Amino acid sequence: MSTRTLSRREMLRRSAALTALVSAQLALPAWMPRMAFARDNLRGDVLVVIFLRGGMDALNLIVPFGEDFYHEMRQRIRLGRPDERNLPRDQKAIDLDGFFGLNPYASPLEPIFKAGQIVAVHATGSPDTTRSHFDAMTYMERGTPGDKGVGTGWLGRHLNSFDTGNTSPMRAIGWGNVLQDSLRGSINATAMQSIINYHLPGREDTAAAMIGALNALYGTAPEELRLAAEQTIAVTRINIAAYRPENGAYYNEGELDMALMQTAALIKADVGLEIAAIDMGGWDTHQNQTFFFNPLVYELSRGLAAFHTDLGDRMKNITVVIMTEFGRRLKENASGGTDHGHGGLMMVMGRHVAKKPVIADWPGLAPEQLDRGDLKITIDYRDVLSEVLSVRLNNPNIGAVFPGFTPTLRGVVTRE
Amino acid sequence: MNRRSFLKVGGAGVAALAGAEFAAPLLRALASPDLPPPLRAPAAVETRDPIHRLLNRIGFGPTPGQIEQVRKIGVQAYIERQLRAEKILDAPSEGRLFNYVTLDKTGPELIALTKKPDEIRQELVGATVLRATYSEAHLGEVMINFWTDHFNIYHRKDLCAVLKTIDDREVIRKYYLGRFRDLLGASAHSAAMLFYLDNSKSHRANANENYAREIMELHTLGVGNYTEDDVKAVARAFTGWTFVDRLTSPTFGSFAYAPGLHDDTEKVILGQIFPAGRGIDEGERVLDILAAHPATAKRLAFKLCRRFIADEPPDSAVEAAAKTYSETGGDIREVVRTIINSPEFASAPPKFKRSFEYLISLFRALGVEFSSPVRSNVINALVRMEHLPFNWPQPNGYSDIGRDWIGNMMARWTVALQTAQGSLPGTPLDLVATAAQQGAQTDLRSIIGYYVSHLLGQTLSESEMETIYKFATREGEPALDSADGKRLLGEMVALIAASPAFQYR
Repeated sequence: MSTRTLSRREMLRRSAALTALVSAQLALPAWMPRMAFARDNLRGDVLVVIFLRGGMDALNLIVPFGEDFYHEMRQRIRLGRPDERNLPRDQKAIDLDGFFGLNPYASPLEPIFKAGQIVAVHATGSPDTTRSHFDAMTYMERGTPGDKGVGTGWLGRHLNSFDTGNTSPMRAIGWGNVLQDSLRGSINATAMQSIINYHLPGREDTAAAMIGALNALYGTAPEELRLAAEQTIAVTRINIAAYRPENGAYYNEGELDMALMQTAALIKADVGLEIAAIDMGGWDTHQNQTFFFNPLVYELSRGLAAFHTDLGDRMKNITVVIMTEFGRRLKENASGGTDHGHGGLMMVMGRHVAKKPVIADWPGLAPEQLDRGDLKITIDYRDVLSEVLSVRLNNPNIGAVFPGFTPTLRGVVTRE
Repeated sequence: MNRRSFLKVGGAGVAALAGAEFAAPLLRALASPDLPPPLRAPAAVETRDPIHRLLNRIGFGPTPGQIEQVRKIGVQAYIERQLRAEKILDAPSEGRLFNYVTLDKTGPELIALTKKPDEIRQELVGATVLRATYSEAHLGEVMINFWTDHFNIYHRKDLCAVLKTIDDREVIRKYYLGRFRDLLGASAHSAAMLFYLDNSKSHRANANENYAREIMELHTLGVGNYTEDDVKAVARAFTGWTFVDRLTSPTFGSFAYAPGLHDDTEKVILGQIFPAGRGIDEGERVLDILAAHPATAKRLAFKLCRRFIADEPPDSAVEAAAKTYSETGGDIREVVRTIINSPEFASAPPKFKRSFEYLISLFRALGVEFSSPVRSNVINALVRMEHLPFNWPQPNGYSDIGRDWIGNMMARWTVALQTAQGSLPGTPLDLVATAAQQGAQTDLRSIIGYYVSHLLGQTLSESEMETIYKFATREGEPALDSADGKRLLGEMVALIAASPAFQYR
């Protein structure tokens, strides 16, 4: 199953032919036809959910350098304490709050942490005990730990339970070929490989002519249908290759950056996007972790920082959640990597997050404090998601999103 | 979208776009540089040929020539014939299922076939598409589609992949125009339903409330007509209602009542006392009460009126249908007859097609040819249009409200293009021959006129016809039997199929 979005090179190639056909007469950025759609008051933030597939090693991203056991159990792959003299900078943690530190390869996030616009939630995850990728992802995305019978995802149920009056075809997008499990069950969620692919098939000149004719015919359709057609046509006219990130932000050609960039484009084009789901793979670092893990951390951090910079002031109405199916074992394995664990990490980025870098009900890493050798979970991941949905997205029906679960407020996000 | 906003076709927003000078730059920004700006409101969709409308309401839309056939035998005769769906020989559709081997099999026979769940699912989906496209029992197929959603079962829940094939045959396709009590009873005995709603594991020490709740909330009474205590009591009444779930059993998939699991104590349900010790009869009595309840009459009447008349049907129509239900002991056929013959049905506004209806109406309108096995491109089209049969996870079934379906226009426009070009379902079309057979002249304008009238059942405004004509002749007018001519013709038909009017039925 390939969930890759198109690379930038691919997009440039495909859109070169389209560029000539796209109208851009107004004094607006050439890539985007601005359509002012009615803004309703119900909606809250745009939510971007990034799922790190494979089980991201939380302990080496937000490092509990204050724990002796961390250093003892990870002799080869540990990040050093911030004040360890004889370690180069890229092998020791950046201090966040005196106990936790940031992996140095996540340095693009450092200014955002300092500005209090990103918070990490540690020792969090799903209470089911599976260490299987597939099961863990299913439980987490369906929002029903231990129960695979539920066919809907937590985001699908959020969309169903909260009528924001938004009938945009772009209400919820899952980047990739196949819709993420979390979005399943809602008629509003669309899997989209890329904006370039959101186009009629076949010859490009035929497609453009047909879109033009449809635009004329739908101009007099009943209101909601006309709007849906306009929003659809607006997306086909986004010239993503000519998209210019603002404020000096720069996206590279990787799958994460391309998904973030297209999400940014859709947000700015005001097409009614409420939810975007993005996947980033490669986190299953069973061996030679230092070689594989750090570049992934850099890639993730760079991409998040680029998105943060690009959206600028619009970040006031955006919340980004980063999550993974589980963390990894405290003790490194014989191949210089780590195996599947339990407690992991979430991050929430936005203008209205807790003003401290790390929220944790830290269970400790002493042998008797672990869960079968793994970091314990002291904060259910559904606490974090419930809070984001109710406080930032204004969903009044959280009970329908995580049935049978009563969330605890953790102060991860704030209303103002 | 409610009735009021629909009738505002050509309302304030459009007037602002269509005339005022200040809007001109906005119009140019919206439209491609080569085509005219958005046009004045066309003739309302309500002015369709009534038979065209009828065939889109009590069927999945007309095939070429079908409107004339109905006109010949007369509308009333046609309606009466369709109401007797079980008497209609279905060679046209059944004959196309020759490659499918699972549809008529019992539980053990299905297991013996050793097919993968995916293959069994695909056969049922393919058969559903073929039957909807080709069956002569048009109203029958619409009712089957209706009850499939009403008694929703999710193909991807484990054993449902296998059991739904039996449920489709023994429950939905048996009782769709019969007595509701029979349909409800068949569903309550269906292994697929008992598994899907977790009743098969329900037992007296721990009664599972899922089926009890959904049978009252969704299948019969509707929310507000029962209490939580009723849910608990009904759950206890249905304990022991299970099925043979051992795959190696010679009766796998058949209903089984397990007295050892049944809670045989006294209960009070909907204000009525259920004495202890009545075993399986308790559940049957619950079904009797639910089927006969006035709230059920009202709810089913409402849902059927929503399907046949409008998203928000007029109270008068619902009341008339509910009255028929109660007076006939829940005869679905009579309720549908009441609805179809009602003045509200005759004057109903257009209803936005659900994606499955859109696809089937397009297949029928263009006279496509295909048979089993249905190729994956058809399955994929339904997935992209978010209406793959049996793939809705929740028990409430796919939405019947038009507004919920307007979000995937790109998928529909793509399907329109692929179908008119002959790549979906996959046999090339001869668009000229089809038009000629129905009496059209073989020049471009006449053929455009034929397809507009055949697909849309009405005439369009001059400016809309100009938009279509301009699109069809943007590369000149090559001979209709040349490769380019055929291609342009397909694209033109695709435009009509993608246009607003064809989105409604």
